[in-house]
Amino acid sequence: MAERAFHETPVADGCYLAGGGALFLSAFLHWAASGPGSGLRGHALVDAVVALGRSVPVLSTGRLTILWYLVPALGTASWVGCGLSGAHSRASRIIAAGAFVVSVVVGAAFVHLLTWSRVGWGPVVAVTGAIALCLAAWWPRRHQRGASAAPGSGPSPGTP
Amino acid sequence: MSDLQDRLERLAQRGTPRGGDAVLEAAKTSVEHDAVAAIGMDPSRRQSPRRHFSSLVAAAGVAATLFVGMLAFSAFLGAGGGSDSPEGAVRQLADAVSHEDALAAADVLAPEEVQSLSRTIDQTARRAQELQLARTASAPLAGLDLSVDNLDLSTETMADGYVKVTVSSGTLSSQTQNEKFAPVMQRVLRNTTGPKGQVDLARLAKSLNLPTFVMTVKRGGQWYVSAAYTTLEYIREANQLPPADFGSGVRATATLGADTPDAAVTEAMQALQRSDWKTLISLAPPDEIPVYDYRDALMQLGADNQTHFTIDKLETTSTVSGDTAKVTLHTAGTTDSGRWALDGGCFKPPLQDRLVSTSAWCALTPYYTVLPFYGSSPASVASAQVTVVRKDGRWFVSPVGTALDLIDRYVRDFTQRQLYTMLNVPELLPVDATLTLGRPVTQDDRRGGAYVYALDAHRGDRFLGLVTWDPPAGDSYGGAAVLVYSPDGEVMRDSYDLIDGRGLEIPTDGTYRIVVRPYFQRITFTVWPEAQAPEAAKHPPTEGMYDGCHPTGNGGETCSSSASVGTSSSSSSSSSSSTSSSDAGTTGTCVTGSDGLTTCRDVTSSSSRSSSSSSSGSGGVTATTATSVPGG
Repeated sequence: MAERAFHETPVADGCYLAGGGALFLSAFLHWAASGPGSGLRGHALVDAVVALGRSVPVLSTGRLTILWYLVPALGTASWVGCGLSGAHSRASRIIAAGAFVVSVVVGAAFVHLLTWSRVGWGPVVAVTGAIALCLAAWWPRRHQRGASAAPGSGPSPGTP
Repeated sequence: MSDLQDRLERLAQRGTPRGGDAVLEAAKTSVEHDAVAAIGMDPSRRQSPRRHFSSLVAAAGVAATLFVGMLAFSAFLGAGGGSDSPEGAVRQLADAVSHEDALAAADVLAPEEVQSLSRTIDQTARRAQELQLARTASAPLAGLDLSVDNLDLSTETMADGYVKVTVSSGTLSSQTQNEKFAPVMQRVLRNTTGPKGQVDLARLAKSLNLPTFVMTVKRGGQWYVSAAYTTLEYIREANQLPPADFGSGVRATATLGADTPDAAVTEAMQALQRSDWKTLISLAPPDEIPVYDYRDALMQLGADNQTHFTIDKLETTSTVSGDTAKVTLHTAGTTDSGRWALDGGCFKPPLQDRLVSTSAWCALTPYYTVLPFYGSSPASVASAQVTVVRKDGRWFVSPVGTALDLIDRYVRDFTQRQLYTMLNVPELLPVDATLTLGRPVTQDDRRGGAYVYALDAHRGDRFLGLVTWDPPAGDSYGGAAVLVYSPDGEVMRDSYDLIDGRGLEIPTDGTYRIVVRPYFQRITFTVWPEAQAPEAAKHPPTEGMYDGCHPTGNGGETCSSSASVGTSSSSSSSSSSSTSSSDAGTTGTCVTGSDGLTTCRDVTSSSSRSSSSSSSGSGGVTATTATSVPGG
């Protein structure tokens, strides 16, 4: 059944895979363009950025660190979901939605902590990847060749 | 019936007319085909490439997820620094430099060497923002662009876990963009153009006839750049000394050091007095300062170097917290030049007895402390301690820990007043008070900071000022430097006229800023309308002292040849800070030039200090007696 979903929506699948790749890649890019934290990742990055004195309401250092690691993790999880059940499966959509929320929250936190002028490519690529995931997951079926509904995908928005 | 007849006829006309056997065979084949299709064999074969690709994607996803998980897990468990290879560590350092990221640079330095360097960097960056030296603590170096490019490295294994990384090629480019600096820094750099520079990294040690290299060490499975090993290896190679015994210090830790923190400091002081380099080496933490690994080289280097001082008093007090102890040192002794003493961070060098009061030399004169001149609080200096660390049950004197502790104190104590004074931009300080003519203001800041007073004046007004001081012990520096800034923020060329008896004439209406910088004394400053000024203001101690000299915009001054003793007409200039001195009947102003030499002009002729002529700038010889005083 999964195989029927995969490759029957090549554009959506490709976009979904690229979005997941962007999320994964973001972990290896500079989240701070310059200054403290620009060469760091993970908890060291968050520690360095938070140590600058600004803070994000509700997001402690620990929470922000976990969310930061969730960004590439959701990217790789999206590959698993896409490979098993296709980009339009319920699982893939849940992952896409989760990736979008997490990326936007982490990206906004870094903008707040660093200010726009110091934000590197990391948050930008992460949010872009999450948007790509969402677009692919809810890609209108009328654009698909030989569309056959994937199990659990449900009706797509915009599908006549 | 007719209907059935019609349907049979239409059926008979379909396809090619066949015999009964052919029809049966076709039916049999069709049934087999349908049966195979029913159990799903055929579609599987047709979709095999798809299944293969989707499985590949899923497998890649699982592998990548595991990788991210491991990354997170190792980051939480490990130190989070270093690199996977020696070359990687150096490239990571270069990347940190390119991004002006001091914290990332600290992250790739050997952790036992830098210790709390990250905390110090972080604290310094935040303090820079508080003091408005940087626009933001997150980018304290904004405005300075560094870039390391075309880095080509080669490696040489020195021992297991010790690799020398040689820079075969590479460039370090730098550029400053003044507009990106904080306003204070823009003011400081106002007379400089944004320099663009490029350095060939492969030829940094050309003067030593050595290639540029960096030593890397392996710690906890990760590679780090070692500043200590790099420095020591350069010393060794430049002096052609015996090779290091890499790692021997760490292996011998349990046999080195001292039994207690106090013993470590005491033995270090005594070893220094005896020029006993071997003992001194054994008291340094082997992982922090690997001098033990280089003991043969350093012993050979130090064989001809002897210290010349005695210790007749040595007391220590210590507090221990875990594996770290803080030891306060009280010691004194003699040298060929006189007595010296050290109490906490207050260092009294020999030869200074006649310059300062012996009763309060530390609190009154930050010159004589182990911390830099400006910004050091006397209380903080007095409580400065030596950091001692425990390794393998033995105690070692920690130079890095002690230095970082002192830097932390210094950064913490630094005030905006002292910083702006040091940077020669005191006019940017907030106004302390508005002057009332004829009413004196008193300042008791003995840490060298300047005070700013506002004075509303009109064109043509003439003023006279007077600085008096109150030396507590009779033989201290006195007076103050006074500069006047016009409403447009520029220093008035005739500023000195205010306090040297000539009188300052105001060129335009507006609010002027008068910057008064006491010379570490309690001073009183008063300004009068010239017509109402007392005789003391018309003939002050500074009368004639500034003849021919004018302040410059960068905090220095220029003096014309009229104030010079010499045969040719010429001018001299100096910059940076100026101080005034009063010493056993001598009063004068000292100007510290960029070369670090302080030139003092005597006001009275009865100087008891050793004096000599001092050339300042190009050309003339200043018409003063001059002496070098300890600079800050």
